[in-house]
Amino acid sequence: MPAGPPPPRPRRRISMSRESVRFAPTWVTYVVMIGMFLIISFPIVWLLITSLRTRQEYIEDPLGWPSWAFSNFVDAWNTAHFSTYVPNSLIYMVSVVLVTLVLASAAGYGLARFDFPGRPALIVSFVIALTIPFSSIMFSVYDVVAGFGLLNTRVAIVTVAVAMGLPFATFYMRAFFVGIPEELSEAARLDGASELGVFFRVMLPLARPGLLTLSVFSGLWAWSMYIEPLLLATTDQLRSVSLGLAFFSSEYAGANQPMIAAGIIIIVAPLVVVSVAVQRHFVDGMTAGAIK
Amino acid sequence: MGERGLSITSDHVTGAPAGGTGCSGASRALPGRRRAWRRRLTGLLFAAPATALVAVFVLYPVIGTFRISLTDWDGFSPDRTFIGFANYSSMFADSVFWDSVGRNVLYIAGLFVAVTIGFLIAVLLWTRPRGWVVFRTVFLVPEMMGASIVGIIWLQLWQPVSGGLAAIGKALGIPFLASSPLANPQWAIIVLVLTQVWASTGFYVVISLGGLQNIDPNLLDAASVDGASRLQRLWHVVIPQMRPYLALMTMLAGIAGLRAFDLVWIMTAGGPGNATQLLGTSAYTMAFSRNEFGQAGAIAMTIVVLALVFTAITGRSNTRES
Repeated sequence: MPAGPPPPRPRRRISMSRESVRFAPTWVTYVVMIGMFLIISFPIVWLLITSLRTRQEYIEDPLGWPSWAFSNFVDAWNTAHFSTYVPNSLIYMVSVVLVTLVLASAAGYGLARFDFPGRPALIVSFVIALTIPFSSIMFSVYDVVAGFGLLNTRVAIVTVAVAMGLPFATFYMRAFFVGIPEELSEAARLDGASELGVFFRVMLPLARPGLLTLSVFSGLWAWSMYIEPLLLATTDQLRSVSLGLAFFSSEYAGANQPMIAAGIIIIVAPLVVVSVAVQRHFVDGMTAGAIK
Repeated sequence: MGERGLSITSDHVTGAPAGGTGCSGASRALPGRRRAWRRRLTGLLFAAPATALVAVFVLYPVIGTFRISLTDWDGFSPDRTFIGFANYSSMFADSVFWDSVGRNVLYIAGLFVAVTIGFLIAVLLWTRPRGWVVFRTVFLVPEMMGASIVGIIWLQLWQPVSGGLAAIGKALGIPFLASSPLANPQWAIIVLVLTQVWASTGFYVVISLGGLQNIDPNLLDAASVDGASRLQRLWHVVIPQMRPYLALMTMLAGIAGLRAFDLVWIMTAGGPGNATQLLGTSAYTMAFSRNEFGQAGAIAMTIVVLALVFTAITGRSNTRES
């Protein structure tokens, strides 16, 4: 049995010349595409322009050209306490990603490769967990966290965020492990590898594309996390960027629009850059996760 | 990510992204009872940590929410008096609750519109026109930003007087844009629904594109040869072939609608008055503004039940058809 990574997913490429998949004249397609492009980018472009204007300029004419007023970014960073929120969110993001990867790949592997008592029940309960909206269980989550004495701790925020994402992440990783030939792990076992050895040395390296996509997903979730810290932390010290930004932008709304715009850009820009850089993983993960 | 947990409705949803159809090694016979037993234990141990976390922080809270809903707990005091289903009967008698149900239905309808638009745009992109990858990337940006940041951005655009849309409305003579509709009880919910459509459409474009990729173009060729018009090809070939994806997107949209919280909470917090309360926000308001956790629990249980029923219906029609 040849070792090596599983073969890439076969993709049907549809040539551009195929007339039967054309449902509208090309110009209609472009009009729709560009229309949607403009509608989606408009708010971000407006923010970008606004963030580069001085407050005075903005008051005189909200729709003018930018004057490269970069001081807004410094003001926003300081006024909005980003020096607290950005490290917070980085901590949340890194912890959520790492814990999710470890737990989801272990559970996904367990579900993909082993039969054990309670496995069907476990799958059903993960499917149920997948559909439970957080907004409906948050009071009890609050109660549980309070019961552990973990209100106002980072541990609680990370744990709850991980738990909410785990059902999806587990199924996603399981799909990856199911696709890896059984012979590879059998061979490693015959060579005397322990179960943990098989998992860490054989399976995980082969599932690397899945781990990468999953990091992108859970990292983006964790970065824009809002409701978990809103619910579980009362102190300003634990706020995520989204939560901090929401408070900041409603506090200064109307008073200093360019500064708010700069604050939003500070948080959104890395997201957009990362999104564009990893969008292939994102699309693959979304399509695979959604369908199979 | 607003639509956290896109995915997977039943056990055979495996489909390895990397390897086609693998078969689970679970049923493989192993020599020796002891080894089989050990294998079982190993599987259990691998799954245990994740299971424990989901059980404590997702599944138990469903039961916990139900228990809270049977009490008059205020969220802080140690005494929780059991009052049976009183919270449910007062909920059903409360017009604010029914209004929020209606609004939530409208919100979900908005997401269905997003599914439809997304699907149609994906059909247009099927020919892979020049630059389509760039467009796809841009379409996904709102989804990647997450509902909370989308809410923050649009709230700024809608700021009365100082916001971008108010300025544009003034400049172009569109009084509606300058009328701060988010503060208007009639318009606020419409604005929220439109914002959600703005945020979600790109996501459905991408899911639909993934589905279209799996349709054999020869089917369409054959239909063309038989003289089927564009509309007929769309209706009789593409839509039936896409049915599992359409069912999936319907399910995701329904759940996302029931889940909706961040965007609404940031943009209006359920106001003005209660004009934009959805089920999630009204439960939150009930608990943390009015200290009626029991009542909030009843609303929350409604969300749970609706989400499960919705998944069961769409999941079942999906498996039946495929």
